[in-house]
Amino acid sequence: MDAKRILLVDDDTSDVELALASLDEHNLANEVAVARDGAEALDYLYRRGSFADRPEGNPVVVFLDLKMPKVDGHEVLAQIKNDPVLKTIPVVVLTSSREEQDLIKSYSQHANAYVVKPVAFESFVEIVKQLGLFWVLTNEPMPKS
Amino acid sequence: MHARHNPEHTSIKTHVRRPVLWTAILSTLLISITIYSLLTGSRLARKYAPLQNAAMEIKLEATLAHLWFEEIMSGDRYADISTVWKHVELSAWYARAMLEGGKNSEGTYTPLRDQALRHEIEEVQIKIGAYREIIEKRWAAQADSGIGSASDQQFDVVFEDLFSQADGVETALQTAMAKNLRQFHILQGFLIVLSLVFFAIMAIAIRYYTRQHVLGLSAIQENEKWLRLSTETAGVGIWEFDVLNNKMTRSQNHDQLYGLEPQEIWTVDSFLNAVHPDDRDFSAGLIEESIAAGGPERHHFDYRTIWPDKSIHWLSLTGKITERNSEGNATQMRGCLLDVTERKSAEKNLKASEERFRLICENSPVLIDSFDENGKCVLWNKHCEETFGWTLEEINAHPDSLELFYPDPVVRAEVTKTVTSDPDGHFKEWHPVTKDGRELTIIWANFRLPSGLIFSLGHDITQRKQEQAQLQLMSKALENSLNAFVIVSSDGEITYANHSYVKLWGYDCVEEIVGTSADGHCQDPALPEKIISILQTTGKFEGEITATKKDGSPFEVLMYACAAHDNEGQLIFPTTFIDITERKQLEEENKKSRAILQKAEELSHQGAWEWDILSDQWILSKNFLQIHGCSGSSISRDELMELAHPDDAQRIERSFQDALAGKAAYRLEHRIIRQNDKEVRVLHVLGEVIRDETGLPVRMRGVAQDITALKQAQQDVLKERNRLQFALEVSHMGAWDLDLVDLSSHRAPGHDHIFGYDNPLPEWTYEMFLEHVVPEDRADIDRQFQEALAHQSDWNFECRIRRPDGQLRWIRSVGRHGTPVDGTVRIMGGIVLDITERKQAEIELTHAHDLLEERVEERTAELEVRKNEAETLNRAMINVLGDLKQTNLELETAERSLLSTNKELEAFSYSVSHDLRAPLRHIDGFVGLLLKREKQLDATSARYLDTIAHASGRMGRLIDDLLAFSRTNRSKMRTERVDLNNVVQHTINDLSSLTEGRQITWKIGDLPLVQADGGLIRQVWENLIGNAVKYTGNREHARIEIGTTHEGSDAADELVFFIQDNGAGFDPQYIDKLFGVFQRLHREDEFEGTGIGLATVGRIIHRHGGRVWAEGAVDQGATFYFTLTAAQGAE
Repeated sequence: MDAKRILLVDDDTSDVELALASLDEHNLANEVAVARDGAEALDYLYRRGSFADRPEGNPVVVFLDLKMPKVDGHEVLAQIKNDPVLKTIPVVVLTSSREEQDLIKSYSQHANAYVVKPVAFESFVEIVKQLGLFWVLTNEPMPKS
Repeated sequence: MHARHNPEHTSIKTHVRRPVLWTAILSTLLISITIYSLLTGSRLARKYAPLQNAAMEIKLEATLAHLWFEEIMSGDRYADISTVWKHVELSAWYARAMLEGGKNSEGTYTPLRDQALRHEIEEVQIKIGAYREIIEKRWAAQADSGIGSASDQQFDVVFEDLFSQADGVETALQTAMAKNLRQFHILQGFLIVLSLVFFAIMAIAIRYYTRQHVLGLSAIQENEKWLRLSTETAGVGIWEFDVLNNKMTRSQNHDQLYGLEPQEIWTVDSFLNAVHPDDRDFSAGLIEESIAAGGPERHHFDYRTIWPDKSIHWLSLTGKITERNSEGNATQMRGCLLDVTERKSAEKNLKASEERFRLICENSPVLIDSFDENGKCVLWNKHCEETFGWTLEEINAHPDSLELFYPDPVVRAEVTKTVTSDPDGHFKEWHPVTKDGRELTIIWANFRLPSGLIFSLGHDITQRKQEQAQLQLMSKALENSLNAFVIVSSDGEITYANHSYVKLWGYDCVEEIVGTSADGHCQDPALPEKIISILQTTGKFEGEITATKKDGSPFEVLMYACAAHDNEGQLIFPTTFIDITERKQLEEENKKSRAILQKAEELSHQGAWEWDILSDQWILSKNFLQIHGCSGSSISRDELMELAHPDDAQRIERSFQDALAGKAAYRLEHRIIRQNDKEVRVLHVLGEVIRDETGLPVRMRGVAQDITALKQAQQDVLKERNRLQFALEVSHMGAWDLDLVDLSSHRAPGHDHIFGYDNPLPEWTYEMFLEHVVPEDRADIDRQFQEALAHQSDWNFECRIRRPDGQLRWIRSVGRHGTPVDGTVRIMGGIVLDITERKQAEIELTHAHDLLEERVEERTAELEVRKNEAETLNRAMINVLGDLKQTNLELETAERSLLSTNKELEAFSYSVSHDLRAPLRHIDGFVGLLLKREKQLDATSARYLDTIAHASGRMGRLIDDLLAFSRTNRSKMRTERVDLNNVVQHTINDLSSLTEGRQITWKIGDLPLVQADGGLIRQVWENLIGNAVKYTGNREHARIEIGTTHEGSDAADELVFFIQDNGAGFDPQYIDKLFGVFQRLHREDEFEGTGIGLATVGRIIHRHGGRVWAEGAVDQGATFYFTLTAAQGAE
């Protein structure tokens, strides 16, 4: 079994459900691995803890929420971008925050994209769908060495 | 007076008296013995003669009786027997007389004492008895007894026996008498011998004593002669005074001592007359005292006597009481008299001499003292007393007087040694201390006087020593002075140079200089001579000269010289030099410093000023003038005062005068109008007053700083702070600051209210906060706090608290660390918000969410109500967020604590904005999913779900509205002239979508030009007109009037606008809630609204400095008023 192509990092189960529902419309839901906070995300990426047994291979994209318990999104982002192996993985910040400081901080940490979760369901579905399609299908990932 | 007796005479007399006594005794004895012997002889005669007689009588009578009886017997008839008896009786009587004494015509008979004789006589009596018996017997037997018979014979025998017995007595008597006579004769012979011996002794004794007596008298006479000679030679008169007879016996020279010829009689009066009148009374008194009982046994006194030639002589009288009567009064006194005139005269001379010596000692400026062998001070002259402070009495009162002067026992022992061993009279230095503790330097010499007294001379050389020491010190100081010093003689030669001089001039040793001319030491060789001539005339010289070093290099010195005289009276010139090379350099550097200072002034917008009060001269720095916009180089005080802002001029003057009077420091802020561009600037001026010794102000100086920019910034900060305060108040948030060191805190007023206190508490600490947290949450909150501290991260939590009245509330708080100043975070700032309602809504929302599918219908309405409430709160937070964000930006330059608080608020709003969107999205998302999933929903369910979607959409709009609202609040005001007629018309046109199909009568008055921000004022009209349209929605004929009025106008340029409608109106009871954020007076189902519109109006009008109010009643329509400032020049 191959590794999932999308790593969705979000502590909010409702958001996760909505996101998965959106991706499901394009049959991308199966491609999604879910981490419920920053710590789990890092465990997943480093294949440790509860993810020690997951199949090899990194996701092609990480959808990352910012506000999370334990290790927040900014820390995960910093960790990924400071790791010589992980830094090539595109990270899309997917958050409710439209705060300027979050934008600045994320981009300073080399986030690849910053998307605000819209309130309206339709817009949300549309955006997540587009993101999924773009990063999984349209975008060419880093070749595997 | 003549001495009749002396001890020797008495002895002689005694010697004569004794043999006389003896003679008398012996004579008496002799006479007594003689008389005794005569008496003894007479007694013998008287005693023994009658007794012998008696013995014979006894025989005789017995014989007669015998004869007579024989006769009778023989027959004689004539003879009577009685005769016989008579004779017998007589015989017996004599025998008895011999024994018992008796007297008869024959003689007197004394009783015999000789026992043997008496016994014989008693024998005789018995025999007489026997004789008488035999007679009677014969008588009785007359017939039978004839002569020759046996009885006759017996008769004869008895008679014979009697007779022989009597005869024996007689013989014994004769013998006894003979014996007594013999003894008598022996006694008489002894007496005769004794008398002879006695007379012989008497003769010898009398002869011896007579001779002695003669010798004694001559010795007395000889003695008297010698005595007279000696007393006369010694001038001693001798006297004896017979008190009772008032008579004085004197030696021959006695009277001569009074300058008189020997007088016949000398009494007490004569004595007193001879005494000098001045001495008379005390002399008489002394004599009287001596005589009186209990007076002294001896008396001695000196007195004067005036001789007939008027010369005065001193006499010394010594007397002794020799006899007193039974009452103790003197009856006789004896004594001698001596002329002591010469002695007195000598004494007087001695006294005078002593007095002179004493005066010399006392007043001599030399220390003189003397101690006797017991260490007692006997002389302590005035100079000693002055020098040491001790008096003679004080010294002698001390057990060891030396201790007063030499407290150190070692030194004292040394002193004692020099004094007691053998004072050699050499001066030696000592350091005694005075009474007041000063140590002196004294030279002392001790002498031993022949009397054994130690006599000491001393001299106080303390001052001289000190002067010497000082002189040495000064000389040393001069030698080592850092200033160069030389002495130049009047001919220009250097006679002395100190070390500094040698060094300054670059020489190696003094010898190189001393003795040389001063000419070579100056650049100008003629200079020394010139200076000397100045010194000779003025005595002083001071000036800068160019000197020459040994190597010829020149240097600058400041020189001070004066003229003086040395020991020999020669004129010399002591001269001091100060190397001023460095000073010159310093002056140069000082100049540079001034330039730097001026630059500094410019950079700090400061200018210095100084005012010389006495000369009224103003010294102003260049920058000071620039600050005041002055182009000139100086400015007078009057000109300066003209630049002061007219409103401040009086205050400046007062402060200035207060400073001069010393009441207060000169420190104030005031405005000026710059001279060149007339711009108003704010200055901060400081000044100090410099006073002379008497306290009079002589100068004032200080700085002035242009603080206009600072003031502006301060005001901005103040404004922002008020704004923030307002934001907190309207949003019912409580802001707090926590001191991380002591966990104490500062809070905004709303804080304590959230915790259930109507009035702010005096104190609030972290512990107090924790106590309010319900126990279940407490540990968790504290852990979060500790984590936040450890990681310096935000402290973001929700928890339940228990208010003092027991009410349980939910709060939300976010804290953030203050920006560290020195690397340590000391403060955490944050806000706290009561989220009870939201929380309840959330909880119930969650609940509702779970039950959504089965009970969505009945829950939706309630959910919506709850959601709206949550919405309302959340929107408030967003509003605050906007405000705070803006505030934070504006307050970046403000005080740190404020900045910190703002950051915390920002953090909070960040969190809120993030969290608010999620539930909205979920509601909308899940409704969307539900709608997609349930294709066959009934109409009602579909409508309900539509309503939920609609509501969440509305909430999104609400957030957008609030953000917009806060943005308008934050935006910079740009006032301009605004034509309200245009604004109102455009607004009405824009609302056409709402008014379409409605019957509205518009009545719009002519509106004036106002000074306002166009964009904001447009929003005011949009909200007000929109409200009017909205609330007249259920009127068939809506009527809306817009215009201006003069009612309620406060100022001339204040314009009052109103908009009146005939709509639903409002209950005036709630009028104060009308302009509050999120305050609504109508239900949502009546009229839609967010409760922000009028709040926005109110805030915009307030920002314009205007007021807003409303009038109305339920179903009576409403009128809203607001004021704006008229545009300038508009009319």
